[in-house]
Amino acid sequence: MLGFTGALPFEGKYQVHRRYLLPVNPLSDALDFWLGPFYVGVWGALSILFSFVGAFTWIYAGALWYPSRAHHIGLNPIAWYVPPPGPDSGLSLAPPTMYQGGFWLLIVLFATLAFLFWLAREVEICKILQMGYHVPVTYATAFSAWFVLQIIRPLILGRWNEGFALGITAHLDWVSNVGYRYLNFYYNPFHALAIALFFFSTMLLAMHGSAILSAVSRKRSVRDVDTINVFWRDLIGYSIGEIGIHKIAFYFAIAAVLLSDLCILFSGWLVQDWVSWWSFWVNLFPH
Amino acid sequence: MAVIRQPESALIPIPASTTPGFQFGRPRYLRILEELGDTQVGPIWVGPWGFAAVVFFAIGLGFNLIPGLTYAIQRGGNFIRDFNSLGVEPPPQSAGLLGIQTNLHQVADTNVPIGSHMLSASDLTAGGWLFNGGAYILVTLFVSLSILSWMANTYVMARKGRLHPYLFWGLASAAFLYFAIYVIHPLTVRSWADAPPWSLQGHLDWANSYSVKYGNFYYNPFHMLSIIGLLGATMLLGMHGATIMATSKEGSHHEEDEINEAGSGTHKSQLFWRWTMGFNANARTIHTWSFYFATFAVISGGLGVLFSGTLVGNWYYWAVEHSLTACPTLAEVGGRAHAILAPYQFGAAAGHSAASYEYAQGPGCSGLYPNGH
Repeated sequence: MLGFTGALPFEGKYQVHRRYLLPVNPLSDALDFWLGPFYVGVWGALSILFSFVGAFTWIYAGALWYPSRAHHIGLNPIAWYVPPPGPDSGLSLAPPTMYQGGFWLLIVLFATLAFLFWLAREVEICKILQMGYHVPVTYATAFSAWFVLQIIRPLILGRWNEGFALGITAHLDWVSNVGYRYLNFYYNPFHALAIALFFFSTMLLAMHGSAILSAVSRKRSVRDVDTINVFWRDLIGYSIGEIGIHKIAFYFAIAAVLLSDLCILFSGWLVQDWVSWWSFWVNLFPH
Repeated sequence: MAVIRQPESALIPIPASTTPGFQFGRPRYLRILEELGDTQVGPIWVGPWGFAAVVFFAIGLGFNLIPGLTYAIQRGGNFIRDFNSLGVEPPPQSAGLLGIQTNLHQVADTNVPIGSHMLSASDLTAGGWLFNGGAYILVTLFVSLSILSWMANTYVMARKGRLHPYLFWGLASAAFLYFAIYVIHPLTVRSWADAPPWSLQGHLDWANSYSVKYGNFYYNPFHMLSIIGLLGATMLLGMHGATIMATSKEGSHHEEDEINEAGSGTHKSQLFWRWTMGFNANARTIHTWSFYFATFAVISGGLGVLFSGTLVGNWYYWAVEHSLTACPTLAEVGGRAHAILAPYQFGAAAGHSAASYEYAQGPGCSGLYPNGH
């Protein structure tokens, strides 16, 4: 039972009550308790509520509707999807039927609220523990990807139809289609930088994980940061140090997502064709 | 915060004399690095494997640049303008794995058996072997040698400091993806033309066309897992970096010490995640998660490449056959049918049963159910 193995020995002295994000909420006191390993709180309760309502709506819409349209798929949730309103519905909040975007709007609303409440919950737990707000900042960055894709970009382009269908293979189809719609997404420089940062982040994670594990897995019991510093200097001439690695981890992960936001935000709004976009570069040189 | 420091006498490094090579340079302190991390740069260990890796890489880079630069000069190109596409392309499939363009008339005239080829001076001129895929094979060869040498370097450096060679295995995982793409897959399909060109633009074009060639890589489950690994690794990096930054004023970043005996910074780090999501790693296991998540991303990616064109020829067919997706009807895709189905233009329709007829009407789905199921 991962995570449900009773309190950590030092847990009690950190469980300080009444450190709320917004103390005006009358439910704050009522929900200010721990349930198993979880801190509940107002924001946790709201987030879980909207998560369950959103998930149930997705299952309801996907399970009832999708198999009726493509019966040979059967009950495979990987193929279920809930599509956004059609292009003709624009930004209408009342699409023709629930199955033509109504469920999508509801689920996007529930999910967005659940994400925001989860963000508030993280801030609140940071306040309880009196630590920095770096984790909520990172989480907010991840949330920004959802917000740009499903809300900001559809608003800019004037139709909810620009959002991606809610489903596993369906959202992959959307990624594929959007890439070809703007001709070649690999030529999108923000996309290219974002991918480079994702790969670099993965490499950094492996480098950091392996550095720590290699130091503490030695047969000798000596664990010393200098050993790791010397190892990196031997290898590449520089060791960034134990605070520096976490600093660039934090910044690189955030930068990868922010560049992803830009790469999709500009597509269809400022740029329609990423291949001919590069003609600016060729035109810099005399013919 | 408890800081456990072993006395200097407890450190038993392997004597430098048993590690080949020598320490090069003196420590220098660059103030510009203050905001980033440690300011000390150097010294570096110069050993045979690291040296070999750098030399092999330089040779590979040379073979990559020389033909491109030659063409750029001959055609009046501009080095800076064309930097994106500067590099070498693989020989066509017809040239075989040695990259030898067989001119049948020439073979008949000179009575040279097909396949035998002696390297001659004319191969090194524009239009010869070197400039038509030969350099590509050499670049792949030397980059592969460089990667293998660097792997050996990480192993030797770990051994020098009595460290478990985790970094060696991490690099080996990344090298597996590299060799899958650049060497193993081309060998299985007997064509270097399936591997990425050695240029910035070329490898992006390859990523695009390789996906389409095998029926859209988004339906490749190993590609799915690899993306989960890549995005998940970035998420883990963000989570871990943020957690340590948020608690570093209480010393959580001294991770080797915190693993020995956790202080309040590490306590808070653990409690944050426990209270938020019901589960927490500790100062040691977060690095286990990190290492295996990152290696998982590249290993599954390599498997996805190796299974393409060998076990599975078209991942879209595969996904339809396994009910991961349905071929969309025309009504569903509406006016965007062409955009949606562009990657799936499969050619002439094969016979399909009446039951699947409705779903085979999309322009790209003809012939999707050749076996009538």
